[in-house]
Amino acid sequence: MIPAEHFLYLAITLFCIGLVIVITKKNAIVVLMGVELMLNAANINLVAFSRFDALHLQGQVFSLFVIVVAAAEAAVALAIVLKVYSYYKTSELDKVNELKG
Amino acid sequence: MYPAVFISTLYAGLAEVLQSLQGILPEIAIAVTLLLVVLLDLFKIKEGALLSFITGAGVLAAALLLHTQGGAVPVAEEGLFHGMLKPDSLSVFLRSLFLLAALFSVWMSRGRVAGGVNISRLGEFHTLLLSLLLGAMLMSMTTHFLLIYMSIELVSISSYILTNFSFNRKSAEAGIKYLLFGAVASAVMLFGISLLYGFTGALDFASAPFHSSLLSLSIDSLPLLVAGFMALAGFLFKLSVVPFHVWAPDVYEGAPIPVAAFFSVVPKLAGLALLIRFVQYFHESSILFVSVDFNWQFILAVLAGLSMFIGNLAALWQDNAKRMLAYSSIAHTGFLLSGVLAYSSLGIKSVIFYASIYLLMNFAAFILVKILYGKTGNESIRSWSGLGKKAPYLGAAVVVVMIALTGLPPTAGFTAKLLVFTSLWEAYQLSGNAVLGYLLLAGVVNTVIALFYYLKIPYFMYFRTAGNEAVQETETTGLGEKVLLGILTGLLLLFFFKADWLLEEINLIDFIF
Repeated sequence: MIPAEHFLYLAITLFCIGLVIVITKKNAIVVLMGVELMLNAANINLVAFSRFDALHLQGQVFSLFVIVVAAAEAAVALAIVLKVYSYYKTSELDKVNELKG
Repeated sequence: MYPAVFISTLYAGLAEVLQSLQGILPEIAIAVTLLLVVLLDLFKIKEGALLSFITGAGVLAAALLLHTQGGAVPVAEEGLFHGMLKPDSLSVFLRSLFLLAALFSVWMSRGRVAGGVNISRLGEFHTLLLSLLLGAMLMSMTTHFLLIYMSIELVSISSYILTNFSFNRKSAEAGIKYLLFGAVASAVMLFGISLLYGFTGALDFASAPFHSSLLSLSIDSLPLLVAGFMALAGFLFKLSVVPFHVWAPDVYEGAPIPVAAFFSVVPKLAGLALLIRFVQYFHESSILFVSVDFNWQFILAVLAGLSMFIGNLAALWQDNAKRMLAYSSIAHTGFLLSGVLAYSSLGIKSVIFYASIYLLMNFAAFILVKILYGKTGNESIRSWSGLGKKAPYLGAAVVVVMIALTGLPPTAGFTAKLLVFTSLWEAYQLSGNAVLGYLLLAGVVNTVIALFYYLKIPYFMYFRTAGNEAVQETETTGLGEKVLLGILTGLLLLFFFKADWLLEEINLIDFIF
């Protein structure tokens, strides 16, 4: 059986990769991919930890909810990116900068 | 054929659900209204007045149900739906504030221009407003991480779409910025929650197993603190506390006026409710923040002080009224937060009082912006020069509302600030924690700074004369808007002289402290 720490290492690595992508990348869609990694890092944690919660399996149920919500969020996000694209003709976040102050 | 035990458990579960449903009648009313609006929209009924009427009626019905119940629901010790929802008296009070705010927003989105909401999208607008309201109401009465996550996402996703409802360049940009910041904040929160779940094996931070496993934990306090603050990040984002505030000015500027007004109150107060509960339960068990060699009060106090300073100093340079109000709301968050970390029943009560007054004055300010925008077609404060003399009623209202936002007598804004300062002073006296003293000082200094930019609006309206450029009236102000403004302004004055009327209501709320 794989020890619980290994899942934790994987989750933390994924989370950090996601965070770095979010901070460094300029394309809105790539940033969303980074967010997706961060959410799935949390999912791995939840599923791995629910091994110790054998009676209720709350973690596994939680991760199902997270997957569904992430899908909804991605749908809304892509719609908004499309909207931005139709006004600015780009999805580079650096070039979408009219609001300042 | 299922075993008999299974069948009986099933029946027990169903009975629990049916019993619990009676405890959330207001939420059911909101959900039904939401579906009704969706149906109307589906059948291409685009009558703005009808949609506003139905939404308003639904919100009123929910308010009525909330108050006939009035916490008199036989709530089991562990709460509704196996401890998922706890409709206690704090949540009843906050939910009434949310319903009031929704009513104001629906009122503001009437008329030919609908406060900047695209007129052909009014059906979707009302649907999303209701779903945001529903999310906020759920947020205010839960301590279970699953429901916290779901309700925060319900609020957030509705907000992302609502931000876009002006359908122009600015609002699309605001929408994408809000979405990306929000998604990252909720991912960080979720990771924090997953770690807390790993440490404790429980998802309800108010439950006994959560606390007992935290107590018996034999690890360093550092991972716990990191997890705790990651979980807090989501709440602080909704509150727009300083490191998580960058979205607020852009979103307020890009969003239509009724939406910006709604954002400035409802998600913020819902986040505040979560923060109050989180801080309360961790204080009660005295584990995460107090017993370790690490002062959590320090961090929250620094964040509160920073929110005040950054909010107020940035507001000084703004010319767009909505952007200015966004920075002002960040500064107000600092005051709300300082009441929470005073850590006493008086502190929480002063925060609730502050929150109610904040709702009144912020909506009054946004209605003013809407009326002035209708008169000049411009959100720039400079463009409102000379309007004070032309419209004396508006001018008087502007003076009262801005004085209230600053926190000077004779308005309720003063009473609210006074209460927060008193609770901070008391906490400082009790604990001798120097940070609280500095925070109090920061609060007083910031009240003075705030004076300069709030009074800029009346200054331009009275002491500057309008330029020569022809002012085109885009929207004739309806009588209803002026009446609502009058009522709000009147209440702001009334609660200065009769603050105990509101305080009596707040005293009925029972706290853990």
